[in-house]
Amino acid sequence: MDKITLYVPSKIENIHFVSDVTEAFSRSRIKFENEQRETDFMTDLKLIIYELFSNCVLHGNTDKIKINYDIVNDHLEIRIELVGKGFMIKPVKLLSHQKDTSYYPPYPAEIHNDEFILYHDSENEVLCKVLGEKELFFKCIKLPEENAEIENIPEHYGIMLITSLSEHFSYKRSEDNVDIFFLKKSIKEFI
Amino acid sequence: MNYEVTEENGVTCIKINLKRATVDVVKEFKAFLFDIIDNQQKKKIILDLSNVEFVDSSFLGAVVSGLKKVTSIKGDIKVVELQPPVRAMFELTRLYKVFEIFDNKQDAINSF
Repeated sequence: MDKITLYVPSKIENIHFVSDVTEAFSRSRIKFENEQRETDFMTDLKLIIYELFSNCVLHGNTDKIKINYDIVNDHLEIRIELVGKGFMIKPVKLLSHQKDTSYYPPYPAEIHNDEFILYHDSENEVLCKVLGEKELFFKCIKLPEENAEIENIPEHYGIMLITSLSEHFSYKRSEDNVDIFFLKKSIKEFI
Repeated sequence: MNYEVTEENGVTCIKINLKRATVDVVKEFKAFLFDIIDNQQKKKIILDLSNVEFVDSSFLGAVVSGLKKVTSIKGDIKVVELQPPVRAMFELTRLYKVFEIFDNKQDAINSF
């Protein structure tokens, strides 16, 4: 049995505890090729979990967060659940057919299968594809390199770090209004 | 003391005495940095991260806010002595393109 479940009060001061548990889970389950690989994996993982947990605390409007850890087929899987207000799609850049507005679930039918830009910098964009009324898929894409102007550089990197350091990141709101974030990080390159 | 300030040749050096510079301290750090820029009117700032083992994106976001503020008054923030995970973060966020990064404080002071 590899699975572990953690229930944590939704308070920002718990972030170091959550990070330490995430690291401990991975160290106890993954046999790394060498110390350097272990350090590289843990650096990625810490960045991911800090962004995931802090965003759930700051934007989730909830009092308790449930975190599941599991190892499945060469992937570390992290599933976060909270009773919150739903993931808000707030584009940072609009495509010509898109309205300047934000959306909470249930997402309207006219935006199903559309992709919204949630992050943009001189080299990356994070797209969020609306898969249905209560389901999203996120991906980070590389852009042709531009010059980075100070006034245009972002001050929020969470979604870019999560998507660029993992192989899968998605969101679903259940029928009983639980927000579920699901992430998979490959361990193959590190073992 | 989480933030230690020294002055050398007109350059203000802020040493961050935190192992994890993360979202839980970001509000106080931003207020501290903005006070140095707005009220103490310092324009040449060095951020010494030698004691920092990990930074998250909230903390970097605060540093970027400070950089935008200080460059609008023709100043600069330079960063020194990044440990490998912190350097990785500057690379992932592409912030190495907008911050001058130095291996030691003296080189950063001389560069102003």
